[in-house]
Amino acid sequence: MAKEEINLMKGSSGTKGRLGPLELTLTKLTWWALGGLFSIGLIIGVIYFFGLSKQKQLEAIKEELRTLIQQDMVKEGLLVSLKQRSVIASKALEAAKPYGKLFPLLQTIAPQNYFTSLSIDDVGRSTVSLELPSVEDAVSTIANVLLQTEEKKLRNPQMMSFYLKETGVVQLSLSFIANL
Amino acid sequence: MDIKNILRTYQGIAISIAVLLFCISAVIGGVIPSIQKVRELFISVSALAKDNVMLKDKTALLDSYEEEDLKQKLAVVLSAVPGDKGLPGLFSTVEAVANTAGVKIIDMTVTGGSVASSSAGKQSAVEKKVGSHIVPFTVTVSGTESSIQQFITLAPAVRRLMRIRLFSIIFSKSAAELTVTLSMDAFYEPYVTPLGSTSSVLTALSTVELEFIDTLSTFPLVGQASAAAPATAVTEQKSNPFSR
Repeated sequence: MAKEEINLMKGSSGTKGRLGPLELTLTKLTWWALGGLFSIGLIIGVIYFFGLSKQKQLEAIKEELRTLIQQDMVKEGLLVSLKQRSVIASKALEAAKPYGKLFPLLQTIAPQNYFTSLSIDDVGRSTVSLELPSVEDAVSTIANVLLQTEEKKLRNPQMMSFYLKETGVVQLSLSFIANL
Repeated sequence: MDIKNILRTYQGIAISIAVLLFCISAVIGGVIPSIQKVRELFISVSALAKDNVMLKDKTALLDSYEEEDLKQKLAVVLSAVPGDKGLPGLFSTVEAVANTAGVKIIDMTVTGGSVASSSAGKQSAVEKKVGSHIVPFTVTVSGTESSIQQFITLAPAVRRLMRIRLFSIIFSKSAAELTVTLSMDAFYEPYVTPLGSTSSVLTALSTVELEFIDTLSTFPLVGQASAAAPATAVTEQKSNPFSR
């Protein structure tokens, strides 16, 4: 005898037939999605709280260091001033040309008693006037100037004037920039 | 087929789809912004860590210096280029140099310079070139040829830095003494050293700077007392120029 169906309502939904595998896949996917969401949430939460505690820790250290630096404010000011002032003073020292070194240089050009004048202009160009006993001395003086130029002790030499007197005395005017 | 039957037939699929939709919206509305937030947090943590390294270095650097030593060094530099024109000190320095060289000062005149207060005065092109303010002055000295040479040698080599801008000597075979007028400049620079914030980068004194300060300290300090480190320049910090 065939088993008699006594339930009027079907035990399962009607998708079992056609849509059964789809429902199963969707159910599995849903569980995976929920699990994944929970896991990701948990991981993000843990990382966030780790980062937050690290940030608080670093902020506390920063505050401590700031306090230490503020206690050394005078020292910091002195150091900053010293650095700035050193730059200023070194530039000033560079600008102060040691014109005292010019006198030994002049001795290499001609004997001191031949010089009649020396002037320095504001770009550092030296102009010397000499009174030399003969043309040979004048030639020797010019040769000395060229020699000093070759030795890079002076640069850009120019003969401003050359005047030969009846007596044979030469009045010579030269200008150059000394490399001091 | 009535609605009840349709609902019953597709209820499993509908619930799954609803949950999946919830998951997708949770990712879009919650997970992605949270990841961004975490990223921002870690950027800020990394910046804080960098700041702390810099602050630690700064603390170590400040600890490596003695306050007294810094004050002494600053006093040396300030006696070379003071914070103001310091005319009395300048006159006494030139006088002391003249005495050392053995020349007599005939006259000394301050020839120009701003009348405005040190900090208000604008720098001229020449001042910009030399990197500090200048006090131009002329000094006429008389003495023997060698003493004048000595004066020209000594003047730029004393602690209060000065430069000879131009001069003219007429050598005389007959006269024992020469008279020379020299145009000179003395240097000064007003105190403008506002401190930065505690997090501003501080570098140590370089070997070149230390050597320069040592060289400067060997220059004779003549005719004036050593300058003291200005308290106002090193302790006050005004972010607002109008603040009192």
